[in-house]
Order: sequence, then structure tokens, then C-alpha cells
Amino acid sequence: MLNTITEAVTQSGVIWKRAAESVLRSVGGVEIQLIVSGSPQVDENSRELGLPAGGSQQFAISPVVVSWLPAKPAERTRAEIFIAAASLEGAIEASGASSGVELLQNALAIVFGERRLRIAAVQVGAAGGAEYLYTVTAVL
Amino acid sequence: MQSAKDSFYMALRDRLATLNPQRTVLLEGRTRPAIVVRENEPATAVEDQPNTFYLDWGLALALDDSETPVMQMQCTVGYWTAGSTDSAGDRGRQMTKLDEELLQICDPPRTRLLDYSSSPVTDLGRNVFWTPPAMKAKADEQGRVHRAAELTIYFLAEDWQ
Repeated sequence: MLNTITEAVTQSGVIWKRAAESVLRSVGGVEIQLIVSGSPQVDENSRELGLPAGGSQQFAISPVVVSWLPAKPAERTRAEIFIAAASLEGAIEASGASSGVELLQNALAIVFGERRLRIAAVQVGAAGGAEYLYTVTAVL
Repeated sequence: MQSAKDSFYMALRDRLATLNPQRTVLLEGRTRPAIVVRENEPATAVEDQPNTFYLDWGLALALDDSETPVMQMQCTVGYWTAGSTDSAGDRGRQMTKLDEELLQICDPPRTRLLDYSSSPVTDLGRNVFWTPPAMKAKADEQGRVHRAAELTIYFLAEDWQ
């Protein structure tokens, strides 16, 4: 019985991940470039002191939906970026990150077209024990 | 000279983290004490964050012509707040809190001179000293109160080589 429930929950997580990817693709998901540090081991002190890190890595991520948010006067343009968890799996493995959230929170920037955005916040959608969607708030 | 700048920043950062652990800022996807050396941040960094101390280094000069002169270097600490409410009606109080925190983390006005470019970090056997922050008149623009404070740090320039 327990195995059946566990299996059902796991399958539910897989379904959510695939559904998120499918929905984003169906609504015209686009491609972004995720720029991450080439040296994930650089410690916080070195980063804050401006000590050189070892370059950067760039990953093409799709499907992604970019939604520009209305900005108040004197505020930077912001965007909400919806990323299917499944579309980050390759980048997570290649970068050595332990999760999609870690990868996004440590990313240096998102490049969309000719615009370079800084990540301000990351929200996670999870179901069935799996993360299926990341909502990134980014600032131009 | 870089060691002096790094040591000063690290001292203030660690003191702020102890004094007010809630005074943090999210930069580059990381939450950290809300004190930043602007020249150490990516060139594409977004606008200054509220309730965050930004350090800018200015003029540096040797005070004598010895082989190990005493150096002085100017540092400006800029910060702004829009208060903690939608009406920004408490921005003056929030600015006072920032002022007080800056004064507190600058005291005592000295720290060990450490070389952070080496691993492990090396104690250079001297201190960095600084003056109390001199706070300029604050500016209140569109519900945002801005302040700049200036101080001067002093150190022996033996780390030139």
C-alpha cells in the first residue's frame, strides 16, 4: 500500500513537471540564456571583495515565458520569468548545482534577446515531491 | 592599499551582521549583510538598494615620504530609505536607525590589517584606523531620504610591494 502511494506521488511529480513544460511551450515559450559563475566554489568573502572568479558559463533554457511587469516611475523595469523545472535539468547537472533554485539563485544574469536582467527573487512551484516550475523576478 | 580597503569593509560587514542580523540585502541572488563596496560589484549591477550601506573609495595620498608612509584614504558611505510603510511616513525614523547603525559599526575605529587575497587570509601585523563618519545633510526627494557620510581611513603602506 505504502509503495503504491509513494509511486503515485512520484508519478504525480513527473506529470506536473511535464505539464509545466508543455504549458509553457504551448503558450509560445521562448529561449533565454542563463549566465552562471564558472567557479561555484568562490566563497562569499571573495565575491564581496571583488576577488576574481573563474569566468562564467552560459546555458540556453527553453521553453520560458517572460512577462514584463508595469513599473512605477523611477523604478527599474521588472519581469516575471516562468521556467519549467524540466528545462533546467541539463544546466543543473553541467553546473554542479544541487537544485534548480540553487542554480537560479547563484546565476549572474539572464539574457533575453539583447536585454540582460539580474535575478531579484526565485519562487518555486512544487507538487508530488517535485519542483515543476520556477518563477523568477528579474530586474533590467 | 587593497588590504586596508578589504579589512575596513570586512570589519564593518561583520559588525553589521552582529548588530542587526535583519539588515540584509539580496544581491546577485544572495542574501548578505546590507553593506556593499560598489567597486566590487558587477558593472551591470542594478540601482542602489534601499536600507543598504554603499561604500565608495575616494582620494588616497601618502602623508610622508618615508619608505613606509602613513596613507590616508577617503571613503563615502551612501544609503537611502523610503521607510517601511507604503506612505513612507517613517522614512525619517528609518534614516535615523541607519545613521545609528553606521555610527555603531564604525566603533571601535580600528581593525586588524588582513590580506584577503592570500589563502588562508594573512594577518599583516598592523591595524587600520579611521575617523568617525561625518554625516552630511540628508536629502528628501520623492519620499526617499538619502544620506552620505564621509570618513578617512589611515594605515601604514607596507603592503605596497
